[in-house]
Amino acid sequence: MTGRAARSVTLFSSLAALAVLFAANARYVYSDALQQLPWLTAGHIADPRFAGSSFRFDGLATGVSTLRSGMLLIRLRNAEEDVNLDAAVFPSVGCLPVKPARGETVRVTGNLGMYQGRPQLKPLSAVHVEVISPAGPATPLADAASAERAGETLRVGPLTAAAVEPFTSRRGLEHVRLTLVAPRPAEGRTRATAQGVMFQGDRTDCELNLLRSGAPVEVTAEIDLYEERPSLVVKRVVAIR
Amino acid sequence: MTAIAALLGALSGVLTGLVPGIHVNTVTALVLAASAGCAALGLDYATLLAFVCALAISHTFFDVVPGLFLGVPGDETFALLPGHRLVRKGQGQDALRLSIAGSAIGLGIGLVVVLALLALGNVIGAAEQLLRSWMFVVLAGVSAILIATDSRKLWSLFTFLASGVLGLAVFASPLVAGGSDAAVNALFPALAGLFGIAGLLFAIGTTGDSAPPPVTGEPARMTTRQVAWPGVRGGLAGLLVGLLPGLGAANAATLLLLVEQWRGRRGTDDEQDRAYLVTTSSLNTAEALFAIAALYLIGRSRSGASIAVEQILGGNIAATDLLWIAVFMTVAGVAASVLLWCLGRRFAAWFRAVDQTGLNWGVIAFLTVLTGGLLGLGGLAILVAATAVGLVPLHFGVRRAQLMGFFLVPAMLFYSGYQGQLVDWLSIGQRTAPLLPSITIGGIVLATVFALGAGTAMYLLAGAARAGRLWRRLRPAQWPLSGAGILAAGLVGAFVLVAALLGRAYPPDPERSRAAGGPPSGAAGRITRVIDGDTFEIATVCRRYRVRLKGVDAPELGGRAGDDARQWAAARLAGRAVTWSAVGVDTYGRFLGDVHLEDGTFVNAEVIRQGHARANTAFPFENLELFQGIEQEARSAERGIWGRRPPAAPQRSPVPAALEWDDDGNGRISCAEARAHGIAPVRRGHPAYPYMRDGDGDGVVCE
Repeated sequence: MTGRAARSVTLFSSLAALAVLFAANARYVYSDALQQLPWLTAGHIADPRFAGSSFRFDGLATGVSTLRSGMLLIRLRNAEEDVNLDAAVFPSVGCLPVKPARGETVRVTGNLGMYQGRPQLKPLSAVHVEVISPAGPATPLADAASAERAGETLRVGPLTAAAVEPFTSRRGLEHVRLTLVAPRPAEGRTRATAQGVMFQGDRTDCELNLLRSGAPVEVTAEIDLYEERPSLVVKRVVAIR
Repeated sequence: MTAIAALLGALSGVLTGLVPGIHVNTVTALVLAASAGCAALGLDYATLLAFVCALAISHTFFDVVPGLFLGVPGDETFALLPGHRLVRKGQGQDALRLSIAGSAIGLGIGLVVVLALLALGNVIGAAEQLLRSWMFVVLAGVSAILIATDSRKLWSLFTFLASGVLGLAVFASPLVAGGSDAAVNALFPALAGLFGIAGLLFAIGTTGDSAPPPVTGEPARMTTRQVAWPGVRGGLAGLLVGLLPGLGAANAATLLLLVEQWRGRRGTDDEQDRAYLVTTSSLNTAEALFAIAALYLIGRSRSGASIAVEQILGGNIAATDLLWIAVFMTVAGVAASVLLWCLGRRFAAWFRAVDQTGLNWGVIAFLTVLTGGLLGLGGLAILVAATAVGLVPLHFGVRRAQLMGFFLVPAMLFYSGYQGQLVDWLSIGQRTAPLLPSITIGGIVLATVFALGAGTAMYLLAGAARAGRLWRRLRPAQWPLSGAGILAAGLVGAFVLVAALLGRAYPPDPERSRAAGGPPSGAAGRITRVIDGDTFEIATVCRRYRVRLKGVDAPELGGRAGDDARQWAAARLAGRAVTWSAVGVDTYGRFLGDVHLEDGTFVNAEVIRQGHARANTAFPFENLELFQGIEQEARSAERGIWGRRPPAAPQRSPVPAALEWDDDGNGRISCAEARAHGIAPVRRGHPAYPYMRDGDGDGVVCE
């Protein structure tokens, strides 16, 4: 083969191979067979044979935070098995249908690993992080945004974000200021609006994009008072289908 | 046993270094995967640690040899041209001596820096924290410089991006089960293809039958200037790339070369070649050490060997561990340099005797069959794609360092914060890995044996074909391929098929894996370290665990009761053989365990019985009533903390609020005490917070 022919073959074969690899990657979709996976126990974590194996794990979310890199870290505790671990949701997993909030029961199906001495489950995909605790009814924005409810954490909606304004705190953290509005009410009634904030550690890029899209959403928020007016400290944003 | 393991590791490093296309990661991945079954061999974690460390360092001494004598471009190909030029001039002995000197200097610098950091404090960790927010800029800058200074910029950019796209596909690939957490994961075929098979195929097509020339004359005298400064420069560059993500020795060597060019060339071509060989050898060896030291210095793994070390040590890397690792590596490095020094002159003769093309085909067959056997068709797909991309720089005359885009592009994307958007845009988020079983030790042995068989058969077949015997017999003129080629391809295909079938002959069985999980009925081990009254390090089969006694709450260190409990445990339990079962994992990642001594003593109960701890009543557990009864017995007998009067009032006065919750008067407030008084979770700002241990530093204790 001449040098030019070899170069051509190399070029096209590399492009073709990458295309095939992407196509093969995309071929894999959610499989019901994953429901057969074992439940994770401390014994599995201690046994090196199971590093990288897939498991299911149900646990109470004791902490949910978004790191600067965009990774969502969910701290989970299963009291029955007395196992605490982290679910590390990397940005490569994509947007979660529902981001878990602290206090909710979460099911994660993922691969077992260790990071800095702590056990980790890396979800197989975005749909493998499921909030399984029953959701109560959402509170209308008009009812939620009141000083009397300060200190409560509520599901509020439906609503849309009329304004999404990033700002940098004195500590250099990038938070977002929100203006939230309820759906247009019947004639003669005032449309409910409220101010809100979403702190850097509480938000993912997916949630921010959802707010910016203007789509109807439901938020989980702690009702706070800011300059003596009710303000929603938003912890989670979920699309209303 | 540890010394033997280090020796075997060093010899394995010699083998992986001498055989082109075989990387240290290949062996460490296999060792790590196989180590799960090492209980049968009675090995402990230190044995495995010594093996991996010795392997990683001795590999760096020997991996320059195939490049020098065969002209085979490996992943350390940056040292190829200057070194190979020396060999072509009959100065192979000089080239080897320079390489040994460079590696030794790199190892020395690595050792000195590690010891200094251990003695003076870990400034690297603090610097890395500062640099992290600028990591995207650093990586992008380095990549831009490497591309802009290449002679063929367009193809250089194409190589960088193509390898980056490959990296994105591989790192998130569902084609290989277990993702990056599996011991043998998608990186295995990717690196074998990019840096191994691609180079071998190119060598087969270009080097022909030329054998290295014999070594002539006596080695030239090397001045200190020729060796010392290039070695130090390489060692320090090794520190940098060993700690930074995405960058490798190839990138650093290219940058150093650019710096030299910028400063202006000094000395003759020959002197330049010699200095470059010393620099790259030093860099390569120092990087191997620092990539493992990164586990302690910045809490991150930076190489295949460091991933193995992290898993062996259970993620808890102490200063003493790093000291041992440095010692293992130094001893192995000294042994490797002596071996290379003694045998160096014979290498040229050996490589003249070896059928180079046959060896290259043999290694290709070995890697292909091993990939097929361990990772199935998904692994083979990655191997093929990586090989195709790996050939691009070789055919287009671009620096192979551009292939580090494989690591750099995903790393840059991660640090940029835009990874999520890209994933959404490509709609590749909703995928999942196939349901495949974990790789078993039987599968690994089987696949390796088959791969070795395929490699040997391929070597012999290629030799026979080149000698003309099979060629004449099997080559019908009208066939588009030679008969030997068809036979070889068929043979390798058969090996792949059989290995893949045998390696995958274990259907997923959730019940079986549930039953087999962990050490349910008690794994044998030894207490190697007592951390406090209720937490120990237990070394067991090829792993080390940090274990907290389940249902036991000993006073924290710093108070008299806590120190007494630790002293008692150290005197009674340190070094004792135990059996333990993992029955939970606490919020710090420690295993909660039931631990028994060989004579049957239940350690959890014994610590409470001796009055050095109380029953932990925060959560219900199987032995709660038993432990409460034993605690009552210890209280009645006024043993340990129960026999001690509370500290005098003046000692309490600085912390009056906190003392309300400090039941055992040790000056610290445990979670059990906080929960007993209803103040948990305790947040920063609460009067009790300063007297509690916030392990994860998130401002909340006893969450």
